[in-house]
Amino acid sequence: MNTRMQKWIVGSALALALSQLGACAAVAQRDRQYLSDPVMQLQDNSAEAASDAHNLPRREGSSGGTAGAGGGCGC
Amino acid sequence: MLNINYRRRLSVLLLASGVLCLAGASAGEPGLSLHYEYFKDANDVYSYTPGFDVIMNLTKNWKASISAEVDGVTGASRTASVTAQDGVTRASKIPTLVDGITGASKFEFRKSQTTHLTYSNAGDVVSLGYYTSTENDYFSSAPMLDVAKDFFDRNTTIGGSVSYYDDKFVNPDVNLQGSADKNLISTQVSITQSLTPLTLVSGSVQRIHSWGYLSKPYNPVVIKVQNPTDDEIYSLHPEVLPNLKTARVLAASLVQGYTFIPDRLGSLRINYRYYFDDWALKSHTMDAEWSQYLSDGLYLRLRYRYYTQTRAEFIYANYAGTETYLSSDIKYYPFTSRTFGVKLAGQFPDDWTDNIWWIPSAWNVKCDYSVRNTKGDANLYQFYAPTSNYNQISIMTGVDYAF
Repeated sequence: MNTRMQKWIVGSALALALSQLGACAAVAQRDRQYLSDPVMQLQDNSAEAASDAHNLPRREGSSGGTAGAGGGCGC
Repeated sequence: MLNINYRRRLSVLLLASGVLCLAGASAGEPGLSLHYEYFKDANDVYSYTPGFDVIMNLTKNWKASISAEVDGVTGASRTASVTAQDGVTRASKIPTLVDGITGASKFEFRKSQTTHLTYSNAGDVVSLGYYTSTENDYFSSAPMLDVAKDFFDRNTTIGGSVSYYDDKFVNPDVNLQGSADKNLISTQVSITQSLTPLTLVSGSVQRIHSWGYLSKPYNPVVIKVQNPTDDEIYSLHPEVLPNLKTARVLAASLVQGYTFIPDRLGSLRINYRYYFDDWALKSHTMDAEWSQYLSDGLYLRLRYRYYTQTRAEFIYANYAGTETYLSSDIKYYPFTSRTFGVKLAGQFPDDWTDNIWWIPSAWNVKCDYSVRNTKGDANLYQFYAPTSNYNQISIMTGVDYAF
């Protein structure tokens, strides 16, 4: 299978998955009190996340996957 | 757990701003946050980082935020298992500072600030940001754009972000002849879905493309000089890395809450990241956090992070000096690391904050301890030969004032 075909299949699968997300809309606005709590957030403190995004790439060969891509340090 | 009023207020604000956080932008409840971080590692590198974040509502739909911090770092010193005598570099059992050769500073300050202007309206969010960072020998600036949109009764959020870093080394080393440029473009697409009132999942794809001077002038490589009469003579060679790198990152997150204890919300957050780049370096990261409210507004969080990476394709234990690329930086060598963390976050009583103006509304303190293991092959690492283990600790504390 060539690369173009692979990309087309992956893209189609993603589009199909996105089109089905509406079926997951099971949480009404009034039921979101827990989802808005800090312990339910993808990151519960922006300063901590920024610290990790800045410091970890200085010691590891990889970066990304969170807010920001690193950069900005000559140390 | 949070009281009803606070939770209702937070609920409205976070529903509006949560999508923005997913897209990587900086937004949240209007207020002032102060934080301080202390870092120390086994190589006696210290870092002291005070900082603040301010978020202000400009109008109903517009918000501005400013983040700034100052780093005091002792991290530039390097040691090598060589010593220079009478102009000849020889092997040494005692690691020696090589700052005199590399030009690295032993202590320096770094100032950074990020400004965001954000528009949000019923789940549509657009944020423009600008970041700058200044050191003695390094300057970085980056404009960034984040967008996010809610779908399906705001259960689904699709976000995207683009940032462009324009960095410059200034007078770091004679080998650079004054200055060197480094650029980076990051593009990211993310999707987040609330599945149940206690379940949130998220996934993202990111591409990070960097070019220019990607080496560091402070990482000399030790090369054994071929000498028939003295096989203990070495030379120090500047690090040379390719001037182009493209990395891709796949990340997924799951947050599962529970209420096994009445009125005491708890959650398990699991993040997984797979990274690979065209230098042949691959890594897996698993980050798990367990949070539990102990009383109203006070929660405990325990963290475990596992990280493992392979080596970049041009990394070797010993170099002949004829290689195109060479580096002694451990971040390109294979290793695993584990981080153990604990955090406590709470709120001050309302009657304190109502009556005493300088009492903040919330506080937090966390400690992370990390251990890096070089898989037992200590000889693979030029600058870390004396031990295969390395550890570091960071302590961060902060307070929040609500406007």
